[in-house]
Amino acid sequence: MTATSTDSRGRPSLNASERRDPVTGVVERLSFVGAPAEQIFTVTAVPSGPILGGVVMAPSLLTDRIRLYRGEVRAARRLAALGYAVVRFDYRGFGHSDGFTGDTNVHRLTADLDLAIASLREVVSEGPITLIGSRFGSLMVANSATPVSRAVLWDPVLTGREYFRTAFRAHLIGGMQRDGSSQTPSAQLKEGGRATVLGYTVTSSLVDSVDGLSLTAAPALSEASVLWIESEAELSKGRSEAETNLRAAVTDLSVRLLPNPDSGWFVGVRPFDSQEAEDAIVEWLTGLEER
Amino acid sequence: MTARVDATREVPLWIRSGDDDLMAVLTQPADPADVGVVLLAGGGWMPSPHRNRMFVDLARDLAELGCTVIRFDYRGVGNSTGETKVFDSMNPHRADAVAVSAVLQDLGVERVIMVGTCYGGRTALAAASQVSNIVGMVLSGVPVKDYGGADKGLGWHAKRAWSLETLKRLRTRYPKYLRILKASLRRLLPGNGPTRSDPVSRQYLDGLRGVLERGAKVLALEGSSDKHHPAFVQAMDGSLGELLKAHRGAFTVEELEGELHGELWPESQEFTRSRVLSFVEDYLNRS
Repeated sequence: MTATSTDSRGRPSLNASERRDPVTGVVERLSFVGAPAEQIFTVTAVPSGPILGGVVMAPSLLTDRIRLYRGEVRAARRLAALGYAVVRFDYRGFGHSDGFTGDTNVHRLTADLDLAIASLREVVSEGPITLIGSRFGSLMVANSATPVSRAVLWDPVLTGREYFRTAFRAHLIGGMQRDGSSQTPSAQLKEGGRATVLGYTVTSSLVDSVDGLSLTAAPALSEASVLWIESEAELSKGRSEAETNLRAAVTDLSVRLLPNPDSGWFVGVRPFDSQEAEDAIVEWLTGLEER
Repeated sequence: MTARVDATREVPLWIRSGDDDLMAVLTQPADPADVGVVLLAGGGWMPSPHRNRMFVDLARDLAELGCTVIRFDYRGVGNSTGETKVFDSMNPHRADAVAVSAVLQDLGVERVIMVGTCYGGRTALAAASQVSNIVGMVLSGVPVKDYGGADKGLGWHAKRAWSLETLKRLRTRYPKYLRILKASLRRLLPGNGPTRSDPVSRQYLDGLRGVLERGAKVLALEGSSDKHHPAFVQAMDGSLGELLKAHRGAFTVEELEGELHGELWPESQEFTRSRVLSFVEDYLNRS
C-alpha cells in the first residue's frame, strides 16, 4: 500500500506506512514504537514467504550514520528477500525518533536497541535473532542487555572512548575547527558539557557514559557466533589484539577482511559501498543455517 | 528551543514518485491552519532528518504553529527506493518534490510553503511551477550557480566527452549528456545564461521568477563565508537584482555572518530554524 491509496473521501490513506516490493514481495513497514514522547522510529522488512529468522540492525552515530545508511537499507532489503525479518531503527535523540540528543546516554541507547528487538519479536516470536552493529552500533550489540546468539560487527569500534576521540580528531582535521575558536570539542565538553562535532550535538553525558564500553568486555556475546567485517586489508595491531580477546570470549568468530576505499570514517559524503559486506553477511548467515 | 510536538503527531508513510517509493514523515498539528510546509534536504545523500536532525525539530516546531509538515527522502536517499548517483542542480529531484507536495494538497492543505537547504532549494525552485498553491519559499544556503557538471563550460565537456569512461557510458547515459550539451549551447547565445559578471543560473532565475510572479513571498538565507556567497552578491548586481526590483517586498535576504551552507554549526542550524519559523509565523499572521 502506498500514499496513492485513498480513504472514503478520496484523500490519501494515512495507513500508507507499508510498501510491498514488486520484485521480492518484501513488505517494508514504517512505524514509531514505544511510550509517547519516547518513541523510536523503526522500519521493519518482512519477507513474503516463510521467515527463517530475525535481524536487528544497530546503527552508528554522527556522520557515520549517514554514510552507512544506504548500505544498511540495502542489506536489510536483501536479507528480507532471503527470508529474514529485519528491523532498523533510530536511537532516541537521533534520526526521526523522539527525544533530545542532549538526553542521550548509554542506558537510553541500550534501551532503544532492546525496544527494537522486542518490536522484531512481534514479527518473529521464536528462533535466533541476529544483531548487526555497524561502527558504534557494534558496541551497542556487544553490550546489549539481551543475550545474543548471532552478531555481525561491521567495522566495529573497539571502545566508546576511541569512537569519540576519533570523531573529535576528524572534526579538527576536517577543518571544522573555525578560525578564532580556541576550543576543541574536548575543551567545549569540559567547559559547557556540550560540543558540536561534525555538525552534531554531543554532550558529556553521552561521551562519559560510553567511555567504559568495550567490544571485548562484551557479556552479551559470550554465547554468540560472531562475524567481524573489517573494511581494511588487514587488522591493525590494536584491532588484532581485540580480535584475539574477542575470539577467546565468544563461541566462534569469523573475520572477513574486505578492503574498501570508502573506509575513511567520519569524513566524506558518498554512501559507503557495502556490496561486499552484504555478501559476507549473507554467506555467513547461510552457513549458520546449514550448520 | 525544545520541540513539544513529538512522534505521536507524526505519520511515516510511503509516497509514490514515478517508479519509486519515497519515505516521508507527516507531522500533523493539533489545530491545523490549512498551511503545509514541505522540507527539502540538501544533496549529498542526506536523509530527511537532516544534519543533527534539524528537520525533525523544525517540523515539530512548525506543527506547533499549526502547519502540516512533510519531510522526505529523495529517491536513492535514506529509506526511499531507487538510486541517485549524482546531485545535479540542473536536474534536481523535481518529480519527488511534486509528488510529496501533492500529498499535502490531497490532505486538504490549501497553501504550501517550500523550505529547501542547498540542493533542496534548487529542487523547490524547479518543482514550484507544478505546485499549484505555493504561497512562500525559503531558500537556505542555495547556490545561484549551477553545479554537478552543468556549471562547466563547453570546452571542459568537450574534453571529457572523448574520455574512454564517457564513451563507455554513452549508451546508457546519453540523455544526461544531451541535456548538458543543450545547456552549454544555450549559454552561448547572447544574453542567455550565466556570464562571468552575472553568474546566476537560468534555472534558478526562471524558478524564482515563476514563484514571485504567482505572488508568493521568498526568503533567501545566505552565509557570508559560504563559497557560493560571492556569486549571490554578484548576481544581486545583475539579473537577480533586477528581478527583485520588479518584485520589491516579496523577496527578502537575510545574511548570517559566517558559514550557513551545509548547516555544519549550531549557529547555522539555529539561524535556518529561527528564520523559517519567523517567515511562516509572519505569513500566518498576515493571512
